[in-house]
Amino acid sequence: MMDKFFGGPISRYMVALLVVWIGIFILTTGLPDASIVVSGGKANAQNIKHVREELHLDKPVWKRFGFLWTQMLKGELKSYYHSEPLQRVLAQKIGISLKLLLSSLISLFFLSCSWIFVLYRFRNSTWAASVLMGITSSIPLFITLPLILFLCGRYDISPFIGGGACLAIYPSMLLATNLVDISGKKKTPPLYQILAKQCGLRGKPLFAMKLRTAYSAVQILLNSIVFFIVLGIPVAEFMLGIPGAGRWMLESILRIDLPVVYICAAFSAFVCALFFFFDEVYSFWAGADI
Amino acid sequence: MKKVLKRKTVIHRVSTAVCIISIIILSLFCYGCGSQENNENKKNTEIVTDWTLNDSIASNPTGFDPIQIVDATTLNILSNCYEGLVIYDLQGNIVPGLAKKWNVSENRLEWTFYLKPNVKFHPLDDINGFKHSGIVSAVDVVYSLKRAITSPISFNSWWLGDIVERQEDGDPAIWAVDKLTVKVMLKNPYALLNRLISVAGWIYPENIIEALGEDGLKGRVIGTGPYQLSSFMPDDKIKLSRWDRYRMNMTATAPKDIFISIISDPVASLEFFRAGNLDVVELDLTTLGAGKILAEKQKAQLKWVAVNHLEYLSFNIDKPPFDDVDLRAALNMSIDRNKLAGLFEEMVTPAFGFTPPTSLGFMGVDAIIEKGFHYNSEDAKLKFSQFAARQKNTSDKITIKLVYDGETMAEFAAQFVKDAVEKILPVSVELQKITWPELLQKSFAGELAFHRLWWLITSPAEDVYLQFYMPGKTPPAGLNMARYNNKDFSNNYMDVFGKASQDDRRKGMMKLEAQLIKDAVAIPLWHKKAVYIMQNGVNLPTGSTLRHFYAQSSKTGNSN
Repeated sequence: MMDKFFGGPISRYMVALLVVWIGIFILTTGLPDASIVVSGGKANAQNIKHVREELHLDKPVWKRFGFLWTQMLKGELKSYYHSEPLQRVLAQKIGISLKLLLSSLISLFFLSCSWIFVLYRFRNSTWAASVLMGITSSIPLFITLPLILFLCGRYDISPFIGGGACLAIYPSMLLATNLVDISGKKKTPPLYQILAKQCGLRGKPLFAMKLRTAYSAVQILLNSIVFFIVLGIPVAEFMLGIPGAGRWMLESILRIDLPVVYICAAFSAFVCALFFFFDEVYSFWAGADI
Repeated sequence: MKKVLKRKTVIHRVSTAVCIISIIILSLFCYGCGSQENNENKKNTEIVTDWTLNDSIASNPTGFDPIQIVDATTLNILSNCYEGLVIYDLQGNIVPGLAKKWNVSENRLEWTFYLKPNVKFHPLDDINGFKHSGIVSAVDVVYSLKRAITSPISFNSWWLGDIVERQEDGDPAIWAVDKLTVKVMLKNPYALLNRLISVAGWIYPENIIEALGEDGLKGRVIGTGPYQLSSFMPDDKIKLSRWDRYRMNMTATAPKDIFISIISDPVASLEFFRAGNLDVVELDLTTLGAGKILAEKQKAQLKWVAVNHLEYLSFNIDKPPFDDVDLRAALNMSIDRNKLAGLFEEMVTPAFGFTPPTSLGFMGVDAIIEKGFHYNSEDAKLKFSQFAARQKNTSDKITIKLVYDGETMAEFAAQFVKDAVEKILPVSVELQKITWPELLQKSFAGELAFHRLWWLITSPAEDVYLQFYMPGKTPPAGLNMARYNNKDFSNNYMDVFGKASQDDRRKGMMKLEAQLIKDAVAIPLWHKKAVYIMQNGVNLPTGSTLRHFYAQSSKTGNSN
């Protein structure tokens, strides 16, 4: 089983990540010439030549890719503008982004509980549940975030809490609707529960079966975390002025700071892949024969 | 049946309890994060000592090495850390810095500077193997100035490189006469002090690059100014700490620590200000209205500062049809600058010429309106007809493309110019929006014919405004994006700034500007005014270069 697993998803994900990392690099080569932007347009021909050499922009693309990774693995990769090793900066920035992620997950929990309660109360009214779902899904982040920004400023609420709540609104509703049957029909217990009861099974096997049945909910949770929370974090950080890794990446794109853009993009691709990998592991386990 | 009902009731009660607990915990969580600060006007007017100033900027500094600083933000922060032989005061006057006095030879080519004794650099002890007394001497000055001129990574070499004489071996003619005397030889007579107050004139210890490596000053600041750089985290904060051994013996009323938050979104900055987390925020067009209301509500101060700035539309004179002066003049005359400035409330003043009102060479409002680019639809049509008469094989209507970037005011301006020009002239204006880095790159490469540009002069040097139109200074060796090539202009420029008398220079600058207006080298639009909102009791002097004079700032009220 392990061989099957390592031969399958792990190698597949490694190849996919490699392709993504190369793809991101190729995309960054399409950005405007960093040597001119770094010099603010004030450079002379000699400066530009020197800056291009210093930033390795005069080398072929494949050599630049190799150099980037060598520097990254050695922990010596630096921004075009500052001398601080990027890994050190990234570690601090990731800490801040993780704080926002944690706040989102806490909000996700509390909001999901609240939605579950509301949906449970309205389980016989599919109309009310649909309206609720429609409201939460149609308020985009760029509307909720500025509103939260004003509330945070006015009531001195930490932007981490406001941002976390914003990011969790829609995923929590998605999760809640998956957990509560809002079809209005009488729910019958799953077949395995009836069988397990008849066979007198309790404890671990029953719990394992429950976990397998919860696969779709877990999948929604993981996908929500990736699509709404992890990918929403840069937007939330940018709009709320939170100095995390996401905002660092967005700002660096505007100043054509390629090493920062690359390290952040590569890292976020890795995090997303990790979530999808976990999803696959779960799916692999849920679908496995007992 | 009874069992089913009982089960339902239990589920109902449990879910109700979970929800109530969730709401209570969430409310406590939010409440626990702090209550709204009472921002009522504090009656206490005592001067606070050793306080912390929370300032804000919109973008990251682009490195700290003086020879590579190209943006106003970095320069203005580091103006509090580095000093040159001369510095400028709150009014923009050039005053002694590290030099206590200077004299000029009769032919105005040889300048001698006498340094103040016992001026200390920021601490150097932690640099392994670096031997330096820590006191500023002539060799430090020679080392710093020569590096600014000759280093291949110096983006600021032109400040001094254009005017300082070279020796036979190519080395700049700057040398130490003794421990506290420096001599500088110029190619031609020139107002050297204007160039020395620039970033290229900042002084740091001799051989510091050899000790720290070529990147060394990108992340470290070793100057003689009133503040030291304590820490920097990109897109987060810069911390400056008071250098208590600063020679001018600052009083404790200057802030002990300064935290400069980097917040790109102006709305977010204002909200942080509202919450009391920032003492100073610069307002922009999107936040001006909210800032005014907030200032009234929280008894905060609004401060307006005229800035050494020009927003303009640049032509590439090498590219037809902009190689025709009549077309350029016609476009200039079709724009009602007063109306345009009115769109931006009090944030701008209309620009009828190229010199900002803060400059020594500014003609005065009435004179520049009279001599500058005036709005006159009839004259514009006449100029256009003269241009059209010279054109062969053209249809009645010409199409030009205006390229701009996504900045809010630029967007307004582009639309305004399009409407104004199309209304008066048989010209169709296509608008193209690109990113600022792209615009800079394309303008640099001479690919754009008509596009948005702006400059903000970060030192009050009187000569820089006109430097952008020097022949031969086109990229990649200058900022003459217009590719203006009038030899008379460059000869007059050197003549004007070679004069000893400031009054003679001022008159000469006006003539130079008149030449630029006659040749319609660009379309000036407006000069910016910076608007700051400051917490009640905070006094932070700011200059026309957007520099924040931290050492001269103070606070009254309760200590923070």
